[in-house]
Amino acid sequence: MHSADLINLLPYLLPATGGLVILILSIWPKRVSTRFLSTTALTFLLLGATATLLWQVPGAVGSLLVIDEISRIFTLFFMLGAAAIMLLSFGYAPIRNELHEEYLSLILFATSGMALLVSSNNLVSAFVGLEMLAVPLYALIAWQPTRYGAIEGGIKYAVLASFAAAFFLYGVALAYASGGTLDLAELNTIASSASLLPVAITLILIGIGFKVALAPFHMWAPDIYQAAPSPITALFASLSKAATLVFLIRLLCLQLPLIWEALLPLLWGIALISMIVGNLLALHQQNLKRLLAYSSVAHLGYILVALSAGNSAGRDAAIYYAVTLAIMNLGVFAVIVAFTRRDQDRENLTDYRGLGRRYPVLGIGMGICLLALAGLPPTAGFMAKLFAFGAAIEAGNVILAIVAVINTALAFFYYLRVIGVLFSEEETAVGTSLTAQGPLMVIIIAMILVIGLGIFPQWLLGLLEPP
Amino acid sequence: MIPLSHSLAIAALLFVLGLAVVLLRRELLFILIGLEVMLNGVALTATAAGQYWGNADGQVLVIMLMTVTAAEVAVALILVWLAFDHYRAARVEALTQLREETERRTS
Repeated sequence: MHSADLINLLPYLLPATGGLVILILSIWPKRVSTRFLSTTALTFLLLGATATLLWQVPGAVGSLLVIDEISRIFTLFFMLGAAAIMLLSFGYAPIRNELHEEYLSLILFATSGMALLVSSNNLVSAFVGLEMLAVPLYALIAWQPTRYGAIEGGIKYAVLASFAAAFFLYGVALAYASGGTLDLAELNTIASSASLLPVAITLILIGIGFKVALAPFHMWAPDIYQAAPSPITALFASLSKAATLVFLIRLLCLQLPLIWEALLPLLWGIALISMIVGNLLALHQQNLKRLLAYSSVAHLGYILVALSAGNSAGRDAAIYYAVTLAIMNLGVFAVIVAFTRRDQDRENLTDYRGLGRRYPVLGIGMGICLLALAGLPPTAGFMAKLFAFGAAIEAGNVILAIVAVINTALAFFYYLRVIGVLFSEEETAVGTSLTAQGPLMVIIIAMILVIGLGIFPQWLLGLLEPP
Repeated sequence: MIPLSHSLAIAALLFVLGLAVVLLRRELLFILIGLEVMLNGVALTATAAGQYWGNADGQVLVIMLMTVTAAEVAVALILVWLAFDHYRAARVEALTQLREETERRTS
């Protein structure tokens, strides 16, 4: 263990230490104010974000973690994203009085799980990261169990995430059985006689498919999106999905030359089904959170289109798409948090009628994020789709790209429907009281990033280039 | 020494058995038990493979698995207890609050 290793480990240790410190504060004899707790949590997150800047890339911690530009970008992004989630939680009325020490420390533990997952170079550390991310989410989804559907959502997520973890782990164990190694980089060198490896990779894909809600493994997503408190929905709709996706990108970018041919039809199938099913189910959805759940199933289909290209353009496109999708979702959920009622979310689309006119900043922010999700230039969503479909065409998957473009056109219909409701003439009777500043800050930053990354995509792509 | 294929077959059987329990039983506790059986199949695979390859990675995987699963089940059991506390039921049929909403609701 060298001191350089310790510096490399800081971004993983700091959030976890922060979580423990906050738990210790909770048994402090004197009552600690929520303001002090949240300041502590935010400090640890910002320290963790700063620590990523100390990294010497490319580096590694043993053979477990690899430290490169991808892990730096995403770790930084997760730290700041988790800070945004905390800001959203303080502005979210239904659980405002339930924000105890445990809530903050669970978010911190989940953050350190995400950081572990994006830089893992070994299947065991990936598994530990995946579970450090998932287990806090069970509890966070069921936060304040008296909310409508909270317990049900928590149980559904717990069962499905454990189910997914079992598939993932079975894949890991079989990959180990076929090659005698758990190292991601060494999986490549496994001899061609290993017939178990395709089965193993397929099982790992199924596990990840459940975690990120790719069709046909998406059935849980709308229920969980609806049941979780909106800040937590934002956490797993944007950050946790991006973290799992980065691991998927790392796995598929190994190329695995011997089984890539066998894997391609599977990837194509999942991509096609995800795009079509996601968009079709979103078309007539009346509940905004469920609509967003289905739309993100479709978006993950687009990301798989980019990944199945199997070239470096596809990899860059998938990474760009993962970051921008996370920012756009964060923006949309920030608006949902801002518009929330005193005791529960606005569920039905009709409850949002005319709110965009009354609160122009929030309305415009929501509009821009939704148009970015639909893929209108000059937003980041457009560039992401352009890169993804461009990579697919470059690799010769023209049919897949055409289906994806048709689906994008289809998706405009329901995004525009939401915007139409938001800016309609008549106003909803359900009253609202906007008090919080946190969500407003998050939505403005998300808006700037969505447009900025759309006009200057090289901000992000330039970082990925090897110097 | 037992050949690798035998232990892999038994492990696969365990995994499928657990899968069947998860898919067929309707009681929440049985579903959790089924998940545990699935994970035990995984653990058997990893141990057998570790013995076959003669390195410790498989055993490390099993120890990590046991630790993580314990944490996971602890949280899941609390949720099941909460469900029992609130709905007086421990079957999945009781959990039907969240559903599709494609029709325009009149409220």
